[in-house]
Amino acid sequence: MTAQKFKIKTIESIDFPLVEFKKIISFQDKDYDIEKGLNDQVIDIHNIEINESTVLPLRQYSKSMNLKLIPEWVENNAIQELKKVIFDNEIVEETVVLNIYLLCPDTKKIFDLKKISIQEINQNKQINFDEIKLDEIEEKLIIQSNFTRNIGYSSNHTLKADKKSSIIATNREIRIYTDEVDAPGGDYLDIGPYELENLLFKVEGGFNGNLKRPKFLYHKAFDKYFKSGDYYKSVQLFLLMGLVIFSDYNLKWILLSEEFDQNNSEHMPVLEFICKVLNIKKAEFMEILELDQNEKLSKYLEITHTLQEKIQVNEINYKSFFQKLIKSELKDN
Amino acid sequence: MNIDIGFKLEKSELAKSISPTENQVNIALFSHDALNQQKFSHQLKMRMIETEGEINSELLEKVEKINEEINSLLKKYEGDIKSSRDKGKLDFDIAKIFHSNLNFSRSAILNYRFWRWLTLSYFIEKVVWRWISDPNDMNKIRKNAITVFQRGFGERDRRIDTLRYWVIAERLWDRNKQYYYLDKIAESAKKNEGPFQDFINNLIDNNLYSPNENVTKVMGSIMLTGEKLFKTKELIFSFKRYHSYTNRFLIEGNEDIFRKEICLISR
Repeated sequence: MTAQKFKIKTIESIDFPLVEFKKIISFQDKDYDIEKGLNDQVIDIHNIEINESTVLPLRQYSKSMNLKLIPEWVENNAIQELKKVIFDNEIVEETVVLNIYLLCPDTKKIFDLKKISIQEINQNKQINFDEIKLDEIEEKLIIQSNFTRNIGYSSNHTLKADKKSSIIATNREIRIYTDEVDAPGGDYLDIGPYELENLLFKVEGGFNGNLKRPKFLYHKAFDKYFKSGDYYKSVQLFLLMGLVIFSDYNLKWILLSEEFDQNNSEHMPVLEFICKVLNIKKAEFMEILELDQNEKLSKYLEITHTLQEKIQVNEINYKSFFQKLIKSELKDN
Repeated sequence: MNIDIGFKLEKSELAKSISPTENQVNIALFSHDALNQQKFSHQLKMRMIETEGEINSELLEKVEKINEEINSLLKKYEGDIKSSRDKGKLDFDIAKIFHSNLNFSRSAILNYRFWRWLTLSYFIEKVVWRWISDPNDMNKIRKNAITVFQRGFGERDRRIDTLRYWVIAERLWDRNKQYYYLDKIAESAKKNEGPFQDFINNLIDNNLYSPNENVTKVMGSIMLTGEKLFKTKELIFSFKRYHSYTNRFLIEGNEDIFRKEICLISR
């Protein structure tokens, strides 16, 4: 007898975005506005390019910003989709409301919530968030929006949301970066953007190259995606796999090149990273550095396999990351 | 007010220098020396723990005012404070003193370096008062030193004592009614036995953020100042219920929704 699989259905909701926003960012007493279209989900304003020759850090340029959002339906039949998740005798315009709010995850600040009626979408209506103080934001501001029931409904229909404030659709979030985001390698690894023409990535240096500290270069066209890597699963997966190769280059460089300097404050973090992955003490690893070149080579051959395995169960568990990714893809399909 | 101030040493280095678990000598620092701020600060200097950043006169005035206000509060309730449990009843009042004097923007929450420095440089005596019931008990000297270190230095950043107080008030402050909710809960805490510390733990640790701190204020009012004072389990389950309702959008939910659906009060 084979086990049967049941799909348990919870409350009906729409799992694709119904609304996108045009965005206009402006600053008090300044003539400079930033306009972004419906599909811009990641906006980096940590540097303000006032003109071709002048770029100012945002926090020097202004203490606050204003944000205008103009909602537009993504699909022509969006209202029909909303009708499916409310009750037959209800009218979408009276039952459903669009909520928009801004939040900063680091400071745990949520700015005012705006409730927009359905009739106001696609009417070029501007939703204004004025005088957002930049000192209440650290790193990024996230714009979130969803559709909820604005009124309750008494029903025995178990699959339809009937309570006030039930979420029936969630839109895509938009991220506005107000501060420079650390490069993907953090303090440990030299990872950065570069003009690579038709290549996606390239590892430079190491032991087999010019004996210089390895650099992991990715095509600069993808810089903004790499710097907001936690937002893109594709980037995360790429970096995880790239890290396996890159860590090995670094291991080789530390053990076999003469350039590695224990007194160099930029070199030591790389060693610390390798120790962290291998879960060995720094002092223990330093002892290997004292061996002669042949012994170090055989140590490298021994450690490289361990490194390849341990990196998969270090801070991020590769297997469960992959499982979750597959699961979310199955859900999307 | 400049809050770009802190100890020169990084957190881990600082911990190595002063933690009572790293070195037996530091037990005296966080037990005996911590009873007197001057002595404690002198000991930090002896350990080459230096400050970095400009300390302006405004901040020093505020620090003095905070200390004075806390001292008069403690004097006022001197007769009522018999145990460390009683001391916790004044947490909301002390939170208001810190918050009303230190008019910082929200990003101050993240400046752990500043709060650590502030606590160890000016408020170590208050840390001892709050967390240690008998500082002269020689049998507990090591345990006490570790507690003072954890609350003053803050191994877990959010536990740094002064930051903890500031956050309590920040999460209950209202744009229009100012300290109305905080005062109400403070009053109730002084009169009643209840899960006030569990509530504080939720304010400090959980993701209860909402516009104008709606969720913490509404839930706090219902559970701690309403017609029925919640028991610990009821409070914990109410927060669990709030967090598990992922298909509800309750960050601006009104009191009625919270009463009926989250705190389960039928009326």
